Parts: sequence; structure tokens; C-alpha cells
Amino acid sequence: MRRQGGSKDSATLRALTTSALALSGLARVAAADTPIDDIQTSYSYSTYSEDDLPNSKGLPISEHSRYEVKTQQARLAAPITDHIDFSLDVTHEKMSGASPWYNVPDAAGAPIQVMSGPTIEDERNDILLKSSYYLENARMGLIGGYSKENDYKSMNFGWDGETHFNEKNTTLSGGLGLSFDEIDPTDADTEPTRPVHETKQTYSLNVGLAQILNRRSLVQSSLSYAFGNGYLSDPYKEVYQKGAIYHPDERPDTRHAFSWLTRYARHIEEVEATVHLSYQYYWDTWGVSSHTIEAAWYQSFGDSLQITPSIRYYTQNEADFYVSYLPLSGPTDDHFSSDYRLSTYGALGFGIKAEYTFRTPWVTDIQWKLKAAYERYISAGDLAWDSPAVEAPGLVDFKVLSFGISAVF
Amino acid sequence: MLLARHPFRAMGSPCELHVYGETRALCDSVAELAIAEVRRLEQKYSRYRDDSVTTSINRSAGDPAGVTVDEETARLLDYAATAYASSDGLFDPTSGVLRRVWNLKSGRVPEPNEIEAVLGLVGWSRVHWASPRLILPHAGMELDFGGFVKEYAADRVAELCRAHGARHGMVDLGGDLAAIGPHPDGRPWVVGIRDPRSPEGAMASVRLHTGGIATSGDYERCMIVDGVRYTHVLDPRTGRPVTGLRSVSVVADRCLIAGTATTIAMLKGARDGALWLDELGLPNLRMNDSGEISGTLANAEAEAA
Amino acid sequence: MKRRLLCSVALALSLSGCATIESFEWPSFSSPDLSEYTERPRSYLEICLEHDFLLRVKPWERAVLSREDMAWEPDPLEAARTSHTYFSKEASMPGGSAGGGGCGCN
Repeated sequence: MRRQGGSKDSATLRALTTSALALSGLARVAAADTPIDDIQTSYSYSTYSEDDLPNSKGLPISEHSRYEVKTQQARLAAPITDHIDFSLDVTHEKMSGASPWYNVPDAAGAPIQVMSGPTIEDERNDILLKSSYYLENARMGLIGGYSKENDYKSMNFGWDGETHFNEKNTTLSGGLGLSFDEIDPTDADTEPTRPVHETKQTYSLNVGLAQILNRRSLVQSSLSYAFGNGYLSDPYKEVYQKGAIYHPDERPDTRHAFSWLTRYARHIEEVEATVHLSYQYYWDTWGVSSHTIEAAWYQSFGDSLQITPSIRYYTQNEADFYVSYLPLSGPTDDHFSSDYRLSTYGALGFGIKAEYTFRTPWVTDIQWKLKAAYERYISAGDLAWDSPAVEAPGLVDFKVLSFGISAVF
Repeated sequence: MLLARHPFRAMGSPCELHVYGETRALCDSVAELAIAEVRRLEQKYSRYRDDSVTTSINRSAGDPAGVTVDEETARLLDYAATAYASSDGLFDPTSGVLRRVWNLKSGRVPEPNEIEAVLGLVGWSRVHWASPRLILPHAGMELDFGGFVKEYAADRVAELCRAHGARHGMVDLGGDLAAIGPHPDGRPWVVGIRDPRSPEGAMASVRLHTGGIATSGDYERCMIVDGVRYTHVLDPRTGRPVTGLRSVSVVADRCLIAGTATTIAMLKGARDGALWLDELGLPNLRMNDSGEISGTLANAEAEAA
Repeated sequence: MKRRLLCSVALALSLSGCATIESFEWPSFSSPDLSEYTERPRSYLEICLEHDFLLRVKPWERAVLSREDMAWEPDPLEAARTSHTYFSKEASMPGGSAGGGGCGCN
């Protein structure tokens, strides 16, 4: 191309040309949906530990310490072409400790939690791959994953997508998921009540609508439905019947579950903070219904530091077939479980997270983030909206400490 | 390779996109993107739309907090600031407010005191611009992107077409042109420069391989009162229409630069404008009030770029 | 004691909700009719979901909306882990998105 200008490029021309160059290659202002345009990597390590079972809730001689899980997660996300991107999530977990087994009544008839004798040492490995294809006003994605533990294998697939309306102010999203699981309890040959090999399938569907309210706030509401079919009981739990009879955990073999989640995000420029609020209502055919309210406050301090306190309140009603233990006369129903996770209780969670961001312009411009977070969760019968007559003795309190690092190229 | 021509109307002018593609469908899809981009810029910087950037900036005039602008607008303002500094204050995006007293359709020449009053609202030097914050200190001040957004749009269309694989073509936005690339056989686009004295005649033709060409003329919008021609090109320092040059055309790497050059040359007038163009060093063509044509493109078949 | 704690939590949450009450910016009703630019057959879904009574935020006004902390899940790793934890310790299934496997959690 012939160089413009005469033999001496005037200063004016140089100034205008330099200034005009800055106007090149401005990203096509988000008229079309685009894949992510950088390579994102992140790693996180977290330790989850449950509080010991209080003496009042357990047998004096048995194990009172509970579960501990150490989790490592790694993630990679990158664009493949102008229209396609992908993400890969890998998780490795080491679990150990004792978990609730069955309840027995004490002298007054109040239930006490008996913990599993030998402590479990297990490992879980999980891989999840997602890929999305982007169109002018829509995105379609495919998901596939595999999870394996000593006694549990799961293969899952999903499809999700979203499409935009009203100049991308309204978004309709949807998804379908399938999961095929196999349960092979580790001690099936030593414990007579253990099932040997079981399978379970879960089919889920969700649809959501999001709307931009103004330049700084959004709202989204979505409905989900899931259908579980197959072996839905817990192979390591039992139900005690007065008279030293032990039944295996016996839950229905189907479950229809519905949930409705509404969430809201708003940025408050004056204080450089963003607030997130959400509420979920859940209901299923086992008789469980629950409410979850979460709030988080993302407080930024300049461009590099963000501190986020958060709070969560959860309350659930027990499953129809939940019992602390069975009476002498035996079960009155086909299904029964004394798993504390199906009882009536409420839980409060408190979290605090700090995130520090910095850039390093070495070989290429990399944005780094260092994260540390702590969460405390406590559950109790009288935290429930409608307190139960009898609180499940095995209700858990836990804390999680996690650290993470991420780099975006 | 077939040539598809897509005429459309935008930014108040008749426009046309010429693009070469392997199939009709490819040409059409590139054209759709190109036209959408022109419309996007038209809506974004329109003075008349409630939801445009221009309107939100103008509404903030007098507000000490000003407005925060997006990246594209910030860079356009940086460009306008550079052009203002390079032209001794002649290229001024705040001069649009002078339209209020110079209503060319009315056929009425404003009184000097009317001009004085509005002149108090003109002057980029009064504007506080520290990217991305823009503050127009006095209520009534206005920013007008109209002086350069059309040329910028032409460059954007050319860039967009090239990014989508088109290598040969040209976009004409009401006389401001940007080349995507020469004809497939290497031939340049032949652009005729309108003769201000006769609407249908060309006073020269320019051959364009790459880059852009823009033209400013006093014949586009003007009024004649008592035999005196008043053009729409107003000097931001005096508030009065310029005289001296009837038409200026400049060829540059970018239509935006070409357009800035023609505007500044027109504002400098017959003698200073011609000198300035000569010093700038870009291929150009100009006609003064007496009908004299000069400039490096003055030969009828000049090769431009 | 727990009831009181509960009520104070509920109060804190609702106060933070009130603090963020929207000042809705009702648009002028001269919202653009873009049908002249996009004359193509419209699906029933599009017709149902399109409206012109709510504000339309333009692409160049999205600087705040595209902040990382305005995403529903600003930290996907953490979201996946906490969702998995709650799913294993509570009876409910998390709402929101499809995909992701189960586990034999105790």
C-alpha cells in the first residue's frame, strides 16, 4: 500500500493517525453473543470438617468425630473458534471419618445418633466437560461428566441453552440433564443388609427467564424439575426398630422434585459494592419442602481487593417417611428412613471471602487472583421455620476453609 | 467472484455498499453485518434519539458530575480532542449548538448579539474530558458527533467486511467512502468528485485502491440571502459561516482522517486552507469561490491511493 | 434464643433488600421500533417475550452489568463445590442449571 502523505509526514497527520489507530479493532460491541475470549485457569483447595457429635446426642462409648473432606479442584476454560468455547473441571476429593448410621432411643425415648463403627476412607474423582456454541442471539451447550468413588459411579449428560430478546435485555434459558449412577457398597459381602449392586437414574429439566432492570441490576427466575428413579436409599444407613431389629434405609424408588429459584443482583456505584439476593422454594413427592434465602455483599476496595461476607438461611420439612426410630410394632409404612438429612430442621450459614487481583505483564498480560474463604454452617431443629417435635440427633455443623488461585491469559 | 451492490439509506444520506464475494449469500451476509454496524452507530450517536449517547451527554450539560462514557465514545472523544488541538480550535465538536441561531431553512441571518449569546456555549476547551468522565460545565452546551461519525462508520464498515473475509469492495456513505479493497483484478475504484457549480457533473475523478476519501462542500446545505451564500460550515471561533472554499476532497488511509482534513481546510478558508492542505501532504482537491481548482488531484485522472 | 437469632437474621436480610430498592428508570415511550430494520418472520416465543414498556439497556451502557461480580456465579469453582456440599447435606436439590453429576455422599 502506498504510504500516504508527502516526503515529510506532517505532525498533524501523525497525531491524527495515531489517535485514529486507537479506534481500530474495538471489539464488536456485544451485539452478538460471543464465546469467552481469554484462557481461564483456576485451582482451589478446601477442607471441610464437621463438628464432633455432642455427647448428649451420641452413645458414650462410640466414635464422636465426624466427616472430613479435602477437596482439590482445577478448571480450564478457553475459546476454540470464533463461535465455540469449552470448559473442563476436574475434582479430586479425599473423604474420611465416621458418618451417621442409625438412631436408638435413650431411656426417656429421645433418639441418640449411632455413628458407623469403622471410619470411611474414600476418594472421589470427578470430571466435567462443557462446550458452547454461540449464535447471533443465542448459545447452545453440551455437558458431559463422570464421577467415581470406591462405591459409586456416575455418568451424566446435559444440554443447555439460552436465547435473547429485547436487544439482549431479556434472556430465556433452559436445560436438560441425565444422570446414570451405579452404587456398589464396599462392604456388601460383610454386612447382610447391604444392597450388592444398585442403579439410579435422574432426569432433570429447567427453564429460566432473566431480565435486565436497568444499567446496574438484573433479576432471574427459574423453575426446575427432577425425576429420580431406581435405588434412592442410602446403602450405609439403617433404621432401628425397638427390640434390636435393624432395617436397611428404605426410601421410595421414585422421586419428583420441583424448585423455584429467584435471584437478583445489583451494583451500588456509590459504595463500590454489589449485592446478591436469592430465594429458592423446593418441594418434592417425598414430602420434603424447603426454603433457602441467600445474601452476599461483594465489597470492592479499588481494583484489586474484594471482600464478600455472605449469609444463608435454610429450612426444611421432613420427608413423609422420616422416623427417628421404629416402634416395637414395626414399620407402619413401606418406606422409612432415619437419615437426619430428611428431618425437619433449619440451618444458618455464614461466609466470608477475600479476593486479591493483580496483573503481571511478563510474557503476556496475565490477570491473577488469590482467594481465601471461610464458611461456618450450623443446623438445629429449632432453627427451622416450624420446629419439629423431636430434633434429629445427627444434625451436622461444619466449617470450610478454602484457598484458590486463578490466572486469566 | 460476483459484485453485489446494496443501496440503503442511513445518517440522512443515500448510501451504498459494493462488495465482492464467492456467492450471493456471502455478499448478503457481509452486507447485513455492515448495514447493521452503520445503523448501530447511527442510533448510538443520533441527536434525535432519546436513548443515544449524544442525548445522554447533552442532557448532562450543567451537571458538575458529568457522564461516564463507554470505550468507543471515549476513543472518539480522544480523536476529537487531537483534531481540535491540531487545527487551532477550528475542529470543535461543541460547535453544533450554533445551529440554533443559524437555521438554514428559515432564510434568516441572525443578529450579532444572538450569535454572541450562543458562542458562550461553544468551545472544546471549556469541556472537561478525562477519560472516561466527560463534563459539560454549562447547561445548554452540546456535543455533536455528526461532524465525524459518518466517516468513522465508513472505516468501521470496511474493517468489519475485511474481518469477515471480504477483500474487495467499497462503502459509500453519502459521499464519504472507504475502500475494503480494490477490484479483484487490482483495478481501483473510480470516484467522481462533484462539481459544486453543476450538480450532475464531476470536476475530477479519483482512483482509490485502499483507504478512504471524504468531501466537504458548501453546496450541500446552505442558504442564499440577498445574494450572499451562507453555508452550514460554521467557524466555532466567530460563530459565522466560512467563506473561501466551495469544496474540498481529501484521500487518506482512513475516511475519518480524510473527513477531518476536509473540515479543517474548509474552516481555514481559501488561502490558509490551501496552504494547510499542502503542508498536510495528503492527496487533495479543492475549489475556491472563484471556481479555481487546485490540489494534487487536480489533474482529471489523478491516481490517489 | 434461636428464634430471636432467626428473626434478627431475617431482619438483616430484608433490610439489605430494602437498601437496594430499585429506582426504576421508566423509558420515554418513544422506544425505537426496530421492525423496520429486522423484517423477518417472528416466532410466537419472540412475540410473547418482546416488550417495549421496560427500559432497554444499550450495549454501550453495559459496563456495570458485565462486571464479574454481577454474574450469577462469579466463582464457578466455589459455586460447584458449595452446591455439592449443600446437596449432600440437605434434602433439597439445587435449582438453576442442568448438568453435573450426583454422588454417593454421606
